[in-house]
Amino acid sequence: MRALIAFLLMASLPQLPAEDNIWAALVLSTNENPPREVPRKLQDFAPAIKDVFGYNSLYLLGQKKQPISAWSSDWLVPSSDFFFHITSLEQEPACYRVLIELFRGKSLLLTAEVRLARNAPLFIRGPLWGQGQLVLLLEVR
Amino acid sequence: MKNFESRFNRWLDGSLDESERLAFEATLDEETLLSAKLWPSIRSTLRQSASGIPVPHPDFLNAQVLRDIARETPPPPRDGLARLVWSGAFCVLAAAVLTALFLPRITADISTTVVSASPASPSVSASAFLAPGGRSTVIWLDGVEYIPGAERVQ
Repeated sequence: MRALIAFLLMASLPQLPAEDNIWAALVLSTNENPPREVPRKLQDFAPAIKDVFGYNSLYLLGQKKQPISAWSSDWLVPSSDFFFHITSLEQEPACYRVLIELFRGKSLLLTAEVRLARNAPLFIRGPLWGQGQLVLLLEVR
Repeated sequence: MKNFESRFNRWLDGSLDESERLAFEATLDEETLLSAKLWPSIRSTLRQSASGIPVPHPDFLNAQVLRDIARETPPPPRDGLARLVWSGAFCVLAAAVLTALFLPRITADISTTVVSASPASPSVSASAFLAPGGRSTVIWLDGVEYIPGAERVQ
């Protein structure tokens, strides 16, 4: 009976993932005719990029995934030109409160405090590049 | 009946006045009257006799009496305890099932939110909004320096 109750108590605790990762990507979005096939890793993001930025073709210029935990601070470098410094301020049941610093080379472009929910990406509109637009993606997964 | 009892008690206590006492005694049959008249003296005699009887080993006697009482008292039904335990287990199980069903849905509905966004350059402005669909969030930077297409980005 005690074992059963202990098992039920354990089962009733909220199930937290064993480990979360934060994924960053640098994407070039352009308009092409016919549209380019969307890279496999960007398929989930293509509809939102098309809706928000109005581009139909995507190029994955760089990506990086690494573990994230509460009170961690680390560089996240999807490309050598654009990269992040991520400071995790707090872990909540469904999201991380993080301080994001976006760099272009040695220059700081943006500082943002964001509550990054799992599987809810953050798009950052970067500079225009050639005929397209650079978009930076961040997602906890 | 209640009136009779009341008057009977008052009669036993001797609190009826003379006329009431005579009227009440007229309603009693002879046997009742006799036994009732004897009762105060019987009670008094019994009290005097009982208080004078010495009890040998009173503590042992008391323990024996308490043990006999405990033996004759039926134990509390064990069904109650078992039912309580199973009810508790059921509640915990129900909580576990509800948590498993609804917690992923609750957490899945949470979107990324931007608390603050500050561009480093004063020539750049930042705004944040929720993308159509409600799950994605956008930080829109305006005024970031254009990169010529000839310049390689990697």
